[in-house]
Amino acid sequence: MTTSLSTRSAATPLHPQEATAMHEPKLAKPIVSFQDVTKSYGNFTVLDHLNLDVAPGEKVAIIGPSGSGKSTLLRVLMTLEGIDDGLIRIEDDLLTHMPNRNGVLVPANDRHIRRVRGKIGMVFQSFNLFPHMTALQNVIEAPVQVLGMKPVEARERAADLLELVGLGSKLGHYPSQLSGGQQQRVAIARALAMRPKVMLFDEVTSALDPELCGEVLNVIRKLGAEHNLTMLMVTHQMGFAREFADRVCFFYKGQIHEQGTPAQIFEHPQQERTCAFLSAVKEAN
Amino acid sequence: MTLFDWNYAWQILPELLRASLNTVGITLIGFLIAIVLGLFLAIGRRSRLAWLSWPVTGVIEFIRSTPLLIQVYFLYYVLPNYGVSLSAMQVGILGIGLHYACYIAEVYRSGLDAVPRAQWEAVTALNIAPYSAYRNIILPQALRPILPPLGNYLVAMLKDTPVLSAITVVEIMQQAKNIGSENFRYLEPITMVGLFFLVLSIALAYLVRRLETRLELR
Amino acid sequence: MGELLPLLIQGAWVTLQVTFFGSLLAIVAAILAALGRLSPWRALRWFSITYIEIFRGTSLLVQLFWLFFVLPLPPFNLELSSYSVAIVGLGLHIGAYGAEVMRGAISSVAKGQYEACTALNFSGYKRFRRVILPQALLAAIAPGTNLLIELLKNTSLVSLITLSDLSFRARQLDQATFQTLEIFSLALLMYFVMAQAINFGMRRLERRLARGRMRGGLS
Repeated sequence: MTTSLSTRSAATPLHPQEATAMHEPKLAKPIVSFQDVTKSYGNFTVLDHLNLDVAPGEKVAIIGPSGSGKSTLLRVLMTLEGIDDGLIRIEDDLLTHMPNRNGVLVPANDRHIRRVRGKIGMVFQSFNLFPHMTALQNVIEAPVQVLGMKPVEARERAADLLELVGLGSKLGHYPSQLSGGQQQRVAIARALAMRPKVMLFDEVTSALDPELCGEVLNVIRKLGAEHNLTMLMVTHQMGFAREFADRVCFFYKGQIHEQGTPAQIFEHPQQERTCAFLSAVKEAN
Repeated sequence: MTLFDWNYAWQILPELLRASLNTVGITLIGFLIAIVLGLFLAIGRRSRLAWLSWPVTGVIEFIRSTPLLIQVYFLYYVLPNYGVSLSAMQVGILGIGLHYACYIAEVYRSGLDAVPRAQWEAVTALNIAPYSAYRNIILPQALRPILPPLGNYLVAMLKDTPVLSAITVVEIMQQAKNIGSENFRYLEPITMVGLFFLVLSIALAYLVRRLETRLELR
Repeated sequence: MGELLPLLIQGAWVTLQVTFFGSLLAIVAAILAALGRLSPWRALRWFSITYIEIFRGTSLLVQLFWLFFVLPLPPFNLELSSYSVAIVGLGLHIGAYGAEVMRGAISSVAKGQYEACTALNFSGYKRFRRVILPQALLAAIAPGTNLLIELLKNTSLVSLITLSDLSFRARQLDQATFQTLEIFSLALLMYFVMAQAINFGMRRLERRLARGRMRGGLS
């Protein structure tokens, strides 16, 4: 499948997959693919004929000013919101449509959406943990209720995952008894418990006190190193994006304005808007 | 036998309407008693004199936690032993007025509590006499947000008037029962009484909402 | 006084039973009506709104009398015992008020909870049962307590459809012994104690359900 980059100027960076040195998918089929996706709220267009392919195992950081549509990109992928036009593909399946008996594309039914959606996991800015359950219960709830896993097995797995995120000693704690950073790490463990192929991180450190961001970013770093998860991250943590991501996409007004390796974007940004954004961020720090 | 005997219904309508006047009358007079008595109870409860506020609080809580029916029985059967002879209607109005005075006292209390402390201090600093203070400064501020709950209690009181039929007050429910037992047909009278309450309570609830928007509370 | 108590306690026991079973029906009716009210299907919404408005808008005594006097006759021909009428009437009446409480409680659950459930691929049913309802029930306890006490007080009306509850026994005793002051004072006191017991029980329940949800609370 051809990858088309949606930018305005001719001086576009290299094809992201060619530019990526770390992981070599060898032009493998994209695991996530946005084709001409458009979404508007009334007159306001938040995703504008967006095209994006993500390779399996790729770590993509999405940066840009507020209101540019970054979070919406993740949200439509997670089916939290619908799209007005275009197609979204996850592995071989279309997300919002499905072929009927005659092979014609029709809007997908609930069962299809749930099947395809199961490949994606998401971590939210406001954690969204279940307040009436302990950390352990939060992590076992979905595998038991949705995947039908046996509680004993789910419990073991959950304990391992919480250990992985550094909270092995807090299994019986309720969210209100945990710090923001700890809650976010539980949220990550909870999302991982469903064995997603793609993990979405929507500004996961934005609601945290600065000193608590590190522990969450460390967990994400660990995940990236030890597991071959595909990750899409909307973030304001430029330092982290620079060091961790395989590709950085600069979002502006509903489109990917510029994208490339961290080195390309942070050190040699080509587009004017990208430069303006990056210097504004540097000013703030 | 037809489902709903419209002729019968038409026939008994005048009797029911006459009794409905009693129902409305009891509600209005009872409500007047409740809003006046309730105000005194509220002020008594908020008083800093312990010998006043404690008993008043006790009475309010006790009456709010016990059934209207028993309170009305109490008044109807106990009062004559102390030489107070009132008609069933009068006892009924007194009973329901007293009962709702205690609910309304709580509404006043939250309204008065909502008046900013600074207003009370200003009144003291300016040495305004208590009566004038309440009348001109405190009450006008406390009243606006409490009018909707008062409206709701008016509706509630209307729907509670049938309880008084237990002490032989002839309001609309009692009249319907009498008609029903005379003619051995209860469906029409009781359904009509139900409709009466339904229509009135929906109309009153609508008026209360209009009042809320007029007072810009919504 | 000693002779009065046994019969009054018998009546109080009936009152408690009616309160208990009426509450169960009220809770079920409240949850179903609240869900119906929030449902995307118009027919279900209309049915719920109609139920709520009728049972809130007409007087409880009218509803009890309707069930007791009208149902046994043609065209319905359904004869229910006064015990059943009491439970059904009270349950549906308080359930209609409870529906509004539940609706508010369900609406108070944070939107983020729904998003987390979508992200974890919950079905609508599991999401409601495991995540939304538990949180809504906790929010409903405070206003729900008041409704339960209303229900308790309203049980006194079943004495007027000949059910031998506390009010019925009090009246009976009064007509037999004319010890009016003692009997009705005792009856009032017993209702008061039962109301406080409900208050106490609901507060304990709230503490238990909210376990761990207070900042720095006990685990």
